[in-house]
Order: sequence, then structure tokens, then C-alpha cells
Amino acid sequence: MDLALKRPIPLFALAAVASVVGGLCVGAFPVGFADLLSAIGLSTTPIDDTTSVVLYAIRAPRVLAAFCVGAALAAGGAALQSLFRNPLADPGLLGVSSGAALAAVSVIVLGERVMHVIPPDLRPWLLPVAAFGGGLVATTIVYRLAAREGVTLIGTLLLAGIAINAVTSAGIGMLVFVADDQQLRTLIFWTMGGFGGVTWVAIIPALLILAIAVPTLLPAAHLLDALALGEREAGHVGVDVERLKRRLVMQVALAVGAGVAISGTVGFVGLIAPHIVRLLLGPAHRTLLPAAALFGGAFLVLADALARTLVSPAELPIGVLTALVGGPFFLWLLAGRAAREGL
Amino acid sequence: MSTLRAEAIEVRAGTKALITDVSLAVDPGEFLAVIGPNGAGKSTLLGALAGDRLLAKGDVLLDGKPMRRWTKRELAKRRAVLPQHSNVAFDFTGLQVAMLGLLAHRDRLSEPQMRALAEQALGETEALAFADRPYTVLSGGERQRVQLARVLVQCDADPGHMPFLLLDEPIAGLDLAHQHAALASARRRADRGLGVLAVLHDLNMAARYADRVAIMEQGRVTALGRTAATLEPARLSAVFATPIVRLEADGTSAFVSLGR
Repeated sequence: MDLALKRPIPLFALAAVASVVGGLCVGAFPVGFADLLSAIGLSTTPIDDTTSVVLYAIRAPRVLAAFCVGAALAAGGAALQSLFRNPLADPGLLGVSSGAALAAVSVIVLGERVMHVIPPDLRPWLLPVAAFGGGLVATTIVYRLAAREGVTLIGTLLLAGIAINAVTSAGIGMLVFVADDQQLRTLIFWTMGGFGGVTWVAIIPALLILAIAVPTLLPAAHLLDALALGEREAGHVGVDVERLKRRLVMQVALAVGAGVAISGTVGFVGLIAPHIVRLLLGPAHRTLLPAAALFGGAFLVLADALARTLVSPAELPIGVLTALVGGPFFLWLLAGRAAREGL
Repeated sequence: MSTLRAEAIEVRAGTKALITDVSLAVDPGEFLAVIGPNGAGKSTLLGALAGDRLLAKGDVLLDGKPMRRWTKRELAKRRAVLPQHSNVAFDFTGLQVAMLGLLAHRDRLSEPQMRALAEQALGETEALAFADRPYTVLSGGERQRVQLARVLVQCDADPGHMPFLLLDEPIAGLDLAHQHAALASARRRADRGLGVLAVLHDLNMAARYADRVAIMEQGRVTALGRTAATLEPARLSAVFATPIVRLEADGTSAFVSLGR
């Protein structure tokens, strides 16, 4: 514990690497650790073609995608919680994910009608960009409603999130109505979340967005710390709060939108990961942001590994697993908060 | 020499004027107390001087430049503000909260230097015991002392700068000994050359620590001058609409309000 508190990031990184190794090895087609070492060039033992295909074409993109989405949701959740000064903020609860999902589903169902005007090279980008836009719109609406003169009204915040979620499910319902069978399958996958069938081509645009949006949160760490004082007080110690808010909302919408573009909506990671890390390491964002990202990434890699092994050869939707862990955890948080603050 | 002054400012909330035609300068090296009844506009004036408020008329000038033209970062190096109530979200420790006062100086100071400055300020407000404790578990008075340390460390960060220190009811919620300690800290900053403005409700504290006193009533400054001359029992009785007398004993004096 002492070690974890003094040098937490290497420890979290180690755990993340372990989860990735685990994620690469387990599955319907088990891959031995020795084969993995050969595959990445650390051992000269030859591996057979099937193992090679499973690792490179199927499992590697899947595990990488799960890790990056988990990291994005967790870091995005941590940033949103600081922005709203509220530990219950989560990209899912605030409608960011569902806004992104609605936009993504719209592209799936209606996208064919506009696809032909888009150059072929840019077509893989349409879905992540739309998801980002959807997330941004939803975040902006919720933020505008809930933040008044430096005070975030928790009731308004949650109600606005509920309203956004209701509107987006209505929208998705309409799209379900007009979708054909193939689109319907894709669409259901989107709303339940999952990493099945992830391919390199499909995830590279979103991974590029994540590679920019997530690490660039880190330079804002001290500014996020100051936001805990309140918006006005953060201004007094030198934070340009309006600029920081605009930047954070953009980045979180970008990260969550790109995450949704890869995996559909995966709930609760953005809530749980920052919380557990805060309990372990405290709220300072210079450690919280990277540690939450590593934790969230590892968490989703493990959840995905469970999702594809528990009922193998079938797959559970990953959203079911995260909600199974996240729902009770959220209730526990609410209960603790109610007891502490007498709400 | 730094200057901070309000020139004929008006601040509105909707159509209602909160303060009207207020002109006031805080001079470097002085402790200026602002007193007045509830709702007189004291906090609004402090907010305007801090650069928080949109002005309907007039201007607040820091070193001759309107507040809105300063960046937040440059302002943070030139004035520190202690607000009336402060909550901190999440379990930041007392030390972490105090160190946030150094945010604008992070590029110049090392982590150990910042830590040392924050600990020194926490020591000054007798809040060093709360350095490693979560702010959220502290009592109201203890929180106030941590916040005061945050503001003091912001003043002390750069000895080359003599910033302004704006305190909104800095002693509300503190016990008597800590009330004196807090105002003595502000007084020392004034003696060092900083301009200090504090909104106070305690006339005796104002009399004891301030060089000048401004009295506010209904959004206007109705009296401004040397402390002893301004704190006149007859005037105070009228301002606060309750009889106030000055008792002399042991070579010192105290204001007493006897109620009706």
C-alpha cells in the first residue's frame, strides 16, 4: 500500500500490462504465454498460423480497443466529475454516451444515403466524427442547464441527463423502426456495447482521436485541482475557467464519442474507475487522470475477457457486465453520500 | 507602486442596482475595513474590486488597467481573494488546498518550495495540523483557516510583487483567538506593503486593525476616512439602526451594542 501511494503510476501501468496479457491469452481459442512471447518477438519458438491470426487479426485489435475505450471513459469521467464538482458525474449518466450513440446509430441507418458524397478514404471517419458531434451536443445541453453561476445543481444535472437519455432512446427507437435486418443487428450491438468483431480498419480513426484527446487532459491536471475550490475561486488563483470548461467539454465529448464509435455505449466505467482511484490515491489530478485511465483500460480489458469466456462460444454484451459491477457500486456511493451529507 | 481603485462603479443584478456610484482606492501598505449592514453591497464591492463582477458603469483599475483586460493568471499574481464561504469538492487535504494558492506560480517554484510556502502559511493560521487531513472533514472555522492560508501563500509567493489582499468576512466562524490571529496576519501583510481590504462586521476588530474604514449603506459608500474618526458612536448607531456606545476603560475603548 505504501509503495502504491508513493509510486502509483508504474504500479497501475504494470496492472494494465498484466490485464492486456491476460486479455490476449484467454478466449474461445486459448493462446499460451509462450506463443504470445513469440508473437511479439521475445522468443524464437515458431507459432502456428491459426494462433498468429487469432492474435494479430482478432484479439490484438479487440484488446487494444477495449483498453483505449476504458481509458477514455475513465479519464473523461474523472474530468467531467471535476468540471461539475460532482463525484456522480459520468459520461453515461450525463447523456454524453447516448448522444454519441444516437449519432452513431443514425450513421448506421441513414448513412448510406450520404456515403456516396464522401471520398472513400474518409468514410471510416464518418461514424466516429458523428459520434463525437452527438456527444458534444448532449454535453453542451446538459452543461448549460446544470451549471449556474459556478454552482452545479445536482438535481438539474441528473434530470437533464435523464431527459437527454430519454430523447436519444426515442430517436434510436425511431431508427429501429426504419432499419433493415442487417442494420438492426448492428444497431443493437451499438446500444448494448461490445468489442466483438472489432477490426483494425474500423478502430484506427477512433484510436487516433483517443490518442490525442486523452493524454492532452494531463496538462490541465492542476487547473482541474483548482476547480474543486469552485469556479470563482479557481479564477482567483489564476484559472481561466471559461476556457478550461470549453476545452474539457470538447475533449470529453471527443474521447467519449470516439469510444462509443468503437464499442457502442459501455456504462459505468467512467464513474467507477475515477472513484476507486480517488479512494486509493486521493483526488489530485496529476495522479488521478493517468491512474484512472490505466485502471479503466484494464477494467474493460478484463470485462471483455469475461464477456467472451463466461458463456463461450457465445458472448455476453460487455455493457451487461459493467452494469452488473457498476450498478451496485453506484448505489453504494449514493448511500455513502447520503449518510455523509444528510441528503 | 501598485494601485487598485474603483471609479464611480455601478453593479446591477437584473434591473436592481447592488452598488451605485462607488469610488474607492485601496492603497498599498494600508488595511482598509469595509463595514455596513447586511445587504449594503460590501461583498459586491469586494467582488468588483476582485474583478469578478460585470460593471454597469465605471471601471475598476489595477495598476491603471481595467480588470477585464488582465488575464486570470496575471491577476492571480497581483491580488488574492478570500471569499465568504468555501466548499471544496473531493477529499483534497489541507495542504493540497493551501498549495492551490500557488497555481499561478507553478512555473517558477519547485514542488518542495511550494510545499514549504504552503506549510509556512498553514503554520501562520495554526492549520498545520490539518495539512494531511481531508478538507471535507474539517469544521467551519478550521476550513476558514485553511482557506486563509491558501490566500496568504498566494500573497507571499513572490516577494517581488506586492499584491492586494481582499478578504470577505475573514473572521466569521473563527473563535476569538483565531479572529485576532487572522487579522494580525492581514495587518502584517499591510505593514509589508500590501494593500488589504477586509469586509468586517465586528466594529472592535475594525477599530483594532484597520487604518481606514469605509461605511457602506444601500449600495453606496457613505463615509470613508481614518478609523478613529470614522467609527463615531452617533454615526454607527444611525447606520446600524441600533444604539451603539463607546466605552473607555484601561486606556482602551470598545464599541458595545446594547440592543433596544
